[in-house]
Order: sequence, then C-alpha cells, then structure tokens
Amino acid sequence: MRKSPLNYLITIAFGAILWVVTAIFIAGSFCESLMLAVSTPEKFLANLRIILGVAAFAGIINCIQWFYYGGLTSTAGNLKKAKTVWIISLIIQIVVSVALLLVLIFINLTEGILPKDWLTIFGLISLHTWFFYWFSTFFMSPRTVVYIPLFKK
Amino acid sequence: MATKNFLIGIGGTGARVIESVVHLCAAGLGPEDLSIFIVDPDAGNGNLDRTKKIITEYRNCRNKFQKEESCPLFKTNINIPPGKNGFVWEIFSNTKATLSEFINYTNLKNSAPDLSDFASLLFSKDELEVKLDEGFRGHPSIGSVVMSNPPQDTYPFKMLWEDMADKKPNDIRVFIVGSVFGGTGAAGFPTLGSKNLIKFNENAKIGDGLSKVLLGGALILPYFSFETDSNTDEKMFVTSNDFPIATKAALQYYNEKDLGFDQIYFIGDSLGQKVGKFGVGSSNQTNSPHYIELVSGLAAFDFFNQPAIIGIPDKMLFTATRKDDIVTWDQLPFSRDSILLKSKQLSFKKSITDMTVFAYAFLTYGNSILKSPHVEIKDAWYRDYFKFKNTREEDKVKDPRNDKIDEMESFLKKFLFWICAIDDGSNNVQLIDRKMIVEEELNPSKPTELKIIDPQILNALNNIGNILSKETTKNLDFNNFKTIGLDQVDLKNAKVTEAYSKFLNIFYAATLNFNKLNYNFN
Repeated sequence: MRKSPLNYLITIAFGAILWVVTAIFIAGSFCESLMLAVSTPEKFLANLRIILGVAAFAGIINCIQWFYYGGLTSTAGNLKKAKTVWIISLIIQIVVSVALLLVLIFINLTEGILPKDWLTIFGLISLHTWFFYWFSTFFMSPRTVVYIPLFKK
Repeated sequence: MATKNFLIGIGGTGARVIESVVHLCAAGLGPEDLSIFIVDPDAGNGNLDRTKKIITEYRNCRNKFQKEESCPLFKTNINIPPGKNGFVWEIFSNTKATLSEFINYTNLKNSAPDLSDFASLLFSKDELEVKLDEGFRGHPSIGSVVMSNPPQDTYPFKMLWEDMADKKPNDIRVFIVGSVFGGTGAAGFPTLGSKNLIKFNENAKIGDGLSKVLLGGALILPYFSFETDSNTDEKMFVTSNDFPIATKAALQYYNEKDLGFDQIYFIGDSLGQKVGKFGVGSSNQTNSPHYIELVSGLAAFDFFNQPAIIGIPDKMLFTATRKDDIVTWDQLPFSRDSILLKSKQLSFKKSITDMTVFAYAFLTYGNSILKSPHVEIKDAWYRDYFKFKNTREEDKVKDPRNDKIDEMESFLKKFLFWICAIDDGSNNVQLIDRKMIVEEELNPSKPTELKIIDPQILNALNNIGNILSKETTKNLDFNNFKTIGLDQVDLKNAKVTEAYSKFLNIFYAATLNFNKLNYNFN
C-alpha cells in the first residue's frame, strides 16, 4: 500500500469514493432536511457538491505532493524538514476547510442556516481535506517518511 | 578441529602485521580459529602496545556482538596465551638488561677469560652495554644470542604444545612473521625458525623426518622509510639507510643455515613509503600502517588455508611482484593457487569495502542516532526495529544505547584509521581513498582521534559511494544508503535478540544492500 504508484492510485480512488459518499449520499439527505429562506435545497446541494469537490481535489493533491516528496531520496537526509512539511500541509488543509466553509457561508448569508448545520458541513469538508490527508498519509506514506504523520508510532 | 593455526609476530614489524591480521579477521577474512603471540623485548614499543589493545578490543567486541547467521564480521576466534604477560615473550626478566649481563660478561672475565675475550671479539663495547629493553636496534647478532632458548613450558610458547595428543603430521600450522632488516625480527626469524626450536621440537617430532608442525614464515624485506631525529642522543639505532645492507647480510646468513621452515613468503616493496618519525624503541615507535603489512597478513591466511599435507612437506618459497608502481586491488597476492586468484581478489575487495562502509556509516550516522533521544528519531528502519518506551525500566534491554557500543566504536575507529593510513596520499596505493573518509593527516599514536567526514553534509554526501580509489561506481549518496540500505533491511526472522547487536546487524545488512548496488558486488 505504501509503494508507488499503488499509494497514488488508492488515494485518488479513495478520494473519489469519499466524494461520492459525502456529496451524493450524505449531502443529498442532509439538504433535504435544511430550512432555507430564499434558495432551494437543489441549488444549495449543487453549491455544496462543488465545495466538496474542491475540498476533495485539495486533499488528493496534497497527498500526492506528500507521496512524491516522501519518495525522494533527498528527503531521507532531512526528516526534521519532512516533519515540518507534513505539519504545514496539514495546516494548509485546515485553512482550506475553513476557507471553503466561509465561501459557502458567504453565498448563503441570507438563508438562515443554523450553526449546527454549518458544523455538519464543516465536518464533511474536513473529511476531504485535513482528515483525508492525515488518514492517507498515516497508512500510505512512502517508507522513508512512514513515521512522520501525527500519532504514527 | 584437526588443524590449529598459530601466528607469531617478532618485533615491531611482526606486531604491525598482527594488527593488520586482526583487522582482516574483523572484516571476515581470517580462518575460523587463530592463536597469536608476539616476541619482543621492547615491551613498551608503541606498535606493540597498539597491537595488544586492538586484540583485546577485537576479542571483547566479538564476545559481545550477537551476529546474524550470515554476517562474517569478527568470524575468527582469536586466542591469546592466558595471563597478564602471556601474550608477549619479552625475553628478559630484568627490564634494564644488557647483553653483558645476559652472558655474565663480568664473571666470565674472571672465571673464563678466553670466553670473555671471544665475546669482546664478537660484540663491541656498545653492543655489550646497550640496554635491550627497547629491542636490538638493528643488531640481530645480539638478538640471536638471547632468543635461542625460549622457555617452552611457560606461556606464550606453552600454548603451541597444548592439546597435541590427537594431532597428525603438519596439523599444527605455525606462521612466523618478522622483518629481515631490523634487529628483533632479523634475530628472531632464523632463531625461532631453526629446526629444533619449533619444527622438530620434542613435542612436535614424530620421527622419519615428520613433525606435527607445518612451519611457515613471512620474511619482510625493506618496505618503508622513516624520518630520523637528528637530535637523538642514542648511540645505537637503525635507520632506513641501513636496511639494504642489513637485508643482504641476513639473507646470505639464512641461505647458509639449514632452517626448519617448510614454506617462506618473501615480502617487500621498493616504494619506500614514509611511515612516520623514527623512534629508537619504546613508546616512541609508533608507525603508520602500510599495505605490505596487509599483504603479509594475506600470506598468513594463504598458509593457514592450504589443503592438508600428508607426509613430509615440500619446501616452498613464495614471492609476488607489482606490475608497476601502482598498487591496486587486482595486484595484491591472495593465493598460491592461480585458479583461485581472481575470485579471492574479488572476495577480498568486497569484504574490505563492506567493512569500511559499515564502519564509516556506523561511526557517523549510527552514532548520531544513538546520541539522539529515542522519541525524536523518526527514521523508519529505527522505528521498525526498536519499539520501546524509554521511561519503562523493563524496556531498557530494548534500547541499543549501552556501554558495549563504546568498545565497538573504538575498534571501528581503529579499523578506519588502519585502512585509511594504508593510503599514504602518494597515489601509489589505490585501494581505499582516505580523502573520502577522513578530514586530515592521520596520527598513528592517536588512532581513535580520527576526524571522520560527516557523510550527511551536502558536499560529502557522495563520499560513501566513492571510497574506492580511482573506480567508477554508481555514485550513490548517503541518502541512498538510508533508502536502499537501511530502509530495506529485513532482519525480522533473524535470531538476534540483543538490541545493541541488532543495531550493528542492521547497519551491516544496509551496507551489503548499498554496496551491492553502488559497487556492483554480488
């Protein structure tokens, strides 16, 4: 699972499946229960799917970048730098999650969506971004950087 | 084991050859079993001191190192005579003895004036009165008098005659090594090699010209030069200018004598490499290692590894020469059997390269890992093999950081010093390129104070892949050592339980992985 290109392919496939699960099934049923002031649930769902798509893309790209970086021979020479790179990537993913949530909030400011619903949406976005990044790198990082992700013992 | 191997080093050169033999054994090139002792009246000789320490360290490292089955390092079980002073026959019980005292010259003057006159005819006043605790100073005539009757019932010579009952003719292989051009070696070689002393000693003699001892020797002809201190007050000492005439005289003498040697290797070199400053004897005499000492060690291994001989052995003399002034891997003499020569050359080159890369990687990166706190190390190979909580007392045994590492570290530094010093910087000896490993000039009196180049710094990253002089390699760097070496080690099924040994085995296995790709070793 750690070897290239298997880790790349599994990550892309996993990201795509996760998008189908979150954007089609979970978001679909979630939007049905939403009470919107102006917009329609279909329009909101379409926006949410785009946001989740961007999130999934960002997560996958970051994983691919990590796998490439971790697979470089020169990375073995400076694992402290690798740890910094991994943490910065994780922070970028968190920032991306927050930014995508803010975009969705901004275009739906007048809809009167409850905070607990925004929290659920943030959870869905996070699944594709920082959590996806952590999960994929935890299980599929190249050999040299296998112990770099958080909580890997 | 049917055969027993003994290596006897005589004088400073003998000690230096033994030092080389110990390093070759550490690289896995020696026989399974080898007993060693030294003959030297110069007990404080710096070369001898260095050799004594290296043997002690070798034995300690070997005892503490739990090896993975296929690991050849420290293969040879090196035995030394028991007791504090058993290892060296110092010849004199009195530390300030003179030849005059040894032959009771003062008493002879009164009791047997004819004999005392004869003694004064053979020896000058200086020769009679010089203190012999610092060797024979290039005067073998003194040495041959005092070495002619070694005590066979005490160590170290006693060791030769132990467990003799089941031995057949030629089962005891005794190899004597000494220089022909100095004092102690030139005196000791024909004296110990005389027929009655070892070859046909009453413990070894079987009858009908048969002996349990197969006697071999390496006679080291001049091979180095050294700088002489013009300020010395000493009256008697040898300089490298004396070597040719001393050699000629000694060889003429040996030719006339009917010695007990079955096989002799004549080893020398005309390059005259400098091996440091001159010292009359004692601790001043510490010289840099030289490739001829390595070659002499190979001669000893060739002697020990020869097939069993039935009956009276034929007398054999061996010499080998260089094609030109350059000494390369394929010019070293490895075997009397020309069919085996090529394979032995390759095997030797591989073993020495493996040991050098192993020592280099361990002493630099390995040490930096061991000096870092356990929790901070994120290297995959380390995390895979060393899973423990350093706060738990019961997990201490899983930590590779312990005192045993210190002795291995010291030994490996001495190995690196030895192999690097063989490259004298003249470009004549093209084996290991020391510029890739150490930063500056080597000090033979402080072999462990090496300034080893850190292979992890940017401009030295490629050094580990280019330690062989003038050879084209894949030019892999130290990061490759980690990724294709350490990260690919698989010792999950190895029966090594001890953490420190596991650490060493991982580094050695990584070295094999790396060298196979970089140096194209199979």
